[in-house]
Amino acid sequence: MKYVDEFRDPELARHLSRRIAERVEPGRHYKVMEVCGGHTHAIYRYGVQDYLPESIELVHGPGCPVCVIPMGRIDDATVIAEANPDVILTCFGDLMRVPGGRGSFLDSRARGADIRVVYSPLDALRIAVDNPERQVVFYAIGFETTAPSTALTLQRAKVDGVTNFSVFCNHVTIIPAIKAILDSPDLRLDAFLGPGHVSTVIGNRPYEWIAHDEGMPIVVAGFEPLDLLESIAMVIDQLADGRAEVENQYARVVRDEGNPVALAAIADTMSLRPWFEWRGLGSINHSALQVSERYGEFDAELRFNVPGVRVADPKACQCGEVLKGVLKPWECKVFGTACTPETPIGTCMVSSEGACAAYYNFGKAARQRVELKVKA
Amino acid sequence: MGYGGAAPVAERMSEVGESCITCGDVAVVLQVVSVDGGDAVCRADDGGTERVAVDLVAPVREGDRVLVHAKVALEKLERLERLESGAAPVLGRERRSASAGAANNGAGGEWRGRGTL
Repeated sequence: MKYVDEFRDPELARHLSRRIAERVEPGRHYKVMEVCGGHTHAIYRYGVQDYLPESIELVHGPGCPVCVIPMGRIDDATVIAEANPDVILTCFGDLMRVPGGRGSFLDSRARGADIRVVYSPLDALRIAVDNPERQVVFYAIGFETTAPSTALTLQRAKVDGVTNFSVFCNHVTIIPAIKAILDSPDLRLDAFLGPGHVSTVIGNRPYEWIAHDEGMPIVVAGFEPLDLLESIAMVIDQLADGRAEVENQYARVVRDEGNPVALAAIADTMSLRPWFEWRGLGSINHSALQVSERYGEFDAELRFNVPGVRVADPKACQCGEVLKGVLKPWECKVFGTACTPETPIGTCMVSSEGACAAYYNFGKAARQRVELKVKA
Repeated sequence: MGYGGAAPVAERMSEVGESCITCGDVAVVLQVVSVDGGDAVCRADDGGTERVAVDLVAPVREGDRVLVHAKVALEKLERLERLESGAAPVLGRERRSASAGAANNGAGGEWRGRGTL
């Protein structure tokens, strides 16, 4: 990206670090949750925590859709792909290694299923157009950032009369997840960093209840190190001033109203599910999207026999506690031993945005620095 | 109407910071080179091009910069012009109050802070 240098300027980072240090209240411990997996990744990758006073704890939330997908939804898709030889199952590459009860998509492909990686649902539609004798299913997953691309693809499929394309919809929505986090009795938070690109679509207004009803600051944040540091500074400013507001650090991209055209496309093609199971968080009402009745002919769950598999997480896996921010990744019993990015047990170790994988890849050095400091 | 096409930029998108397209909330900024109906050919700063659906941010013109996720443009960027001039971000100078004309959340009239980057 062209502007990377400006957003990683070490002098500006030090300036923000000083500003944050000046405003923290002595003796107070701050817990700030970022709900976006991209933020988690950036925090570890760039060592953002090293620029913060020890009294500020960054808590990693459930903002990685791959991490929260229940194992049963992986199994459902492999059943579609394996029971129907004419099916080409398409998905983002992030999903290929996610473990289900019957193994991952890679395992399913080894058993003979035709499972292909695409970079966009539009690519899946292209495959359908190019292969009229096959049924092409797109495994849709992601928060509101990704839902518009699925919505647009469904609209194009309908306009162009593509009959051999369908969507296995697993899109989730961010607000119910935040509500579930706040309802969790074992977690006390002081503030949130809001997801930058999700907010490009939904805008800033859906967060207002956090400030007004929960009395908690939330700052919508960008993804560069300076974005994160400035967002944390804005959070600490609010707490120091006794304010609880929605603020937009990422104003160069995010508009208050979001993208109304994208929201209309989602509303046209998808509807809220009554409930959806989140790995680690359990069943959350109205927290996910399904293909709308209007687009029912493109709903893979109606087109194919989907078993609706429910699989309990492995007992050793503590992804649930990690996703809720109750446990740090390294506090999980199997972190870095039985569970590694090469042989993941839990989804948090699969995606590079999962807290465990991000910490495994980038966090060890930071933790060693903390341990050395403690010993000294 | 196109459906995507070759994926040189998309392939790099998946490698941005070794991060995952879906979970990472990853999006990249591309510049519109030409417009063809609901699609536009867009160029990354390193010269790679990609066919991107621009239905959700229409109308776009050649030269517009768009935020792209999974080959779909989600937003047109306007505020990057300040940086395009070569000026580094200046911190702490753009906090504005509702009474001074900044964004207002409409719930009590309190001001909403904005980032300066």
